[in-house]
Amino acid sequence: MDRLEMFVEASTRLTGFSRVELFGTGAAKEYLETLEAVLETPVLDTLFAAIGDLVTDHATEAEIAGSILSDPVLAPIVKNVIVLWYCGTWQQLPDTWRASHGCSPKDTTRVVSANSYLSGLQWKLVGAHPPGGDMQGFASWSRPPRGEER
Amino acid sequence: MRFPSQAAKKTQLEAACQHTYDVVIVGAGVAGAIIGNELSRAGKRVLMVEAGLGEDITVKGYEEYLQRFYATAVKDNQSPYPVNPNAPMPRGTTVRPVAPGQPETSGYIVQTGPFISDTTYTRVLGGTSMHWEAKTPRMLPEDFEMASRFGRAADWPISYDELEPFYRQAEREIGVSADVEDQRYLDLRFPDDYVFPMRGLPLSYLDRMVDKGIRGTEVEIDGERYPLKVRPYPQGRNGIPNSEYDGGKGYVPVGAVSTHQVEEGERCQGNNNCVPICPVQAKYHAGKTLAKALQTERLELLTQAVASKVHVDPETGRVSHIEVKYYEDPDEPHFVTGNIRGQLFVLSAGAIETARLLLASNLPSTSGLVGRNLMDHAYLLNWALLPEVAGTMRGTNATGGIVDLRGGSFRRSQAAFSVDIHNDGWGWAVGSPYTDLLNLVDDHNQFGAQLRRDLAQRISSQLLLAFMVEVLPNPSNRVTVDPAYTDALGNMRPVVSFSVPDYTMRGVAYARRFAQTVFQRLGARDYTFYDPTDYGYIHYEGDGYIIRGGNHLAGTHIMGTDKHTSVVNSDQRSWDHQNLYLVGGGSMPSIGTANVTLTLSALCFKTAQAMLEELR
Repeated sequence: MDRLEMFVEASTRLTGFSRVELFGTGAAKEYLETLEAVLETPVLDTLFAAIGDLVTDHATEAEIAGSILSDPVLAPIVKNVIVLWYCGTWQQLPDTWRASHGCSPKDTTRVVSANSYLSGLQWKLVGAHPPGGDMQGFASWSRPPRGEER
Repeated sequence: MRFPSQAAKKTQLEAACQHTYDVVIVGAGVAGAIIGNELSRAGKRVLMVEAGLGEDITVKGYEEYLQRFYATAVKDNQSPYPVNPNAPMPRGTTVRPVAPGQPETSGYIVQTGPFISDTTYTRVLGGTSMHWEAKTPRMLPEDFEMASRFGRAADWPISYDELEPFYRQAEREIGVSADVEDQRYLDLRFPDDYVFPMRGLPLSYLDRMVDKGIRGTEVEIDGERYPLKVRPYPQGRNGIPNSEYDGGKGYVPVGAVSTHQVEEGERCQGNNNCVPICPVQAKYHAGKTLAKALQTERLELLTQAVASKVHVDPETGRVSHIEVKYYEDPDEPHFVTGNIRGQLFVLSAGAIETARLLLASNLPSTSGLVGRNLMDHAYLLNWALLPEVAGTMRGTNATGGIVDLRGGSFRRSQAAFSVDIHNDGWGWAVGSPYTDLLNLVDDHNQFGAQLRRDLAQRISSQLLLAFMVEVLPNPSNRVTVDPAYTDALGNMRPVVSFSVPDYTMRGVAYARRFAQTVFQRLGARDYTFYDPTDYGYIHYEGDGYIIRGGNHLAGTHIMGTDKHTSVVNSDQRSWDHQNLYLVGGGSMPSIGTANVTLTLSALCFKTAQAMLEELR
């Protein structure tokens, strides 16, 4: 399994969205590259070793919560990955984390790209669309929403 | 509609300085565009001077606005538009709280307080109409008679009925979608056979849910009872044309305008992004009117030219020319100066920039009121979660609201307001849905299926009520200039001093209680919180509120019947300078509870008529 496959496979557990939905955003590669650009090699290797364990062990949600999401080094990165998928924005890592594990010039709070904004999962979730994109058509707003929340 | 191809070339400074135009207009926003279009179509030669770059005249330029918006982390009103130190603009994101006595200088507007506002306007071709929300309510008949009916402010020099035909012209130009039967309230009068150009946009699912919860209930103020309901707002965006318009001639919506043919924007597509930019141009912006004016080939556009000084002949008091600073590169402070000459001059740069230019020009003023009586609606936000999914985050930004308290006898003692139901959820108040996401992920360690469920629940039942509260004129709320504060080209920046009047704060305090009543009737859980450290925080009678700017700037050159108590007459002509017209929100002596664009557009049609008579 290559890194991209591992990244997306782990992301399915983190986001609650399927592999097809995640690849469907067209942003998977861009998000992986964002991680590779921001993180220094040792951290990146630790992250992917942990991800590899999760993916091959078919970890349960409780196991994920108990492993990478409880790890002081990995948790901020993993949370950032979740936020990335949901809204396309990379958040600058916490100051304490940066002090210990490196401050990449790419580690700034920013929308990764126009596409990443437009493919944020948070809009699909509620039967809506990113403001300014994927418009739903005249009078669509007057109909009941077709999200999955009900 | 197309911008004629020669418009993309734009007029050069040297060429413009060689002519004496019939009319010189400063500022290519909605006010200037309407006057420029009316006059050029009547055969007059017009030069329009614009401080911004004029990028959106091409498909590529407009598309760049959109891409910039998508890729910007903080999607504020100015996020699509380029940063331009040579024609800077205020930006809500730069405003910071200040210590008492210290000016707030981090943004373009220097604010000396005590109230610090995040109000904005945009210095690009099309002006603030690029990011306006495009709600187009008329002012109420009683709004024109504030002094005689409520003992407040001043009466307008013209009545609702005198302005009414010009309202209809403005509604045609902007392309308003509304149904007359929904808009006949609080004595708003229309000719019997009038219909709006396009049928009203349907209410959102969210609006209807709120309506269901409040309809049939009442509130009581000042001994009078007001029944509540949700009413659709008239909108300056394209809907379904009304075949009965104009005596059965119908109406053809104006879609996207560009130097190339673009087939889009003839009907709102529900992008829910009116502010800060409509991706398809279904929302009116002044470029649509400019395109028509440019097609006459009698209107020339000089962009990248910042009007810097109005020169007046000391003998006649007439404006002789306007000095402009013309720059090539927005990031370089290098400029050349040119003098623009004309018969008549129009300043339509917005209430703050027009006042700033007049004050920087150090012109004599009989009334001493230039820059004074600055007004802007005070917005109070209230937010809650509805007990069920409401389909929030879909629509145009606001389709309906509660408008019954726009008028009434209570205006003797407290401000009126109108209430917008925001189809974009809590975004304006707290940055939703981004902040909801961060809260669940970062603070509550949520992920996977549970995050998906909880986030969906949190977002889709959001209700934001934005109260647009009336602000009356007060001479001490004002724009000034100070040579200590200049921009990259050396033009003096506006210095604003503003205090929210008690009359408004009484309305604000009532608005808060009103919101609580509405939430209770809806079974909604109130999440409203006003942070005392916020720059817009105001303490009033034991409670705290956050007031936000409305971008409805007005009052800096108010109109009246006398040169000692007003700056312009009811044609927006300067009392002191016979060939100078000061147009836009600045001429309005009060603003009621109507977003200002429709009314200032109507005033500009009246002004265009007067100018044509003057030039005849």
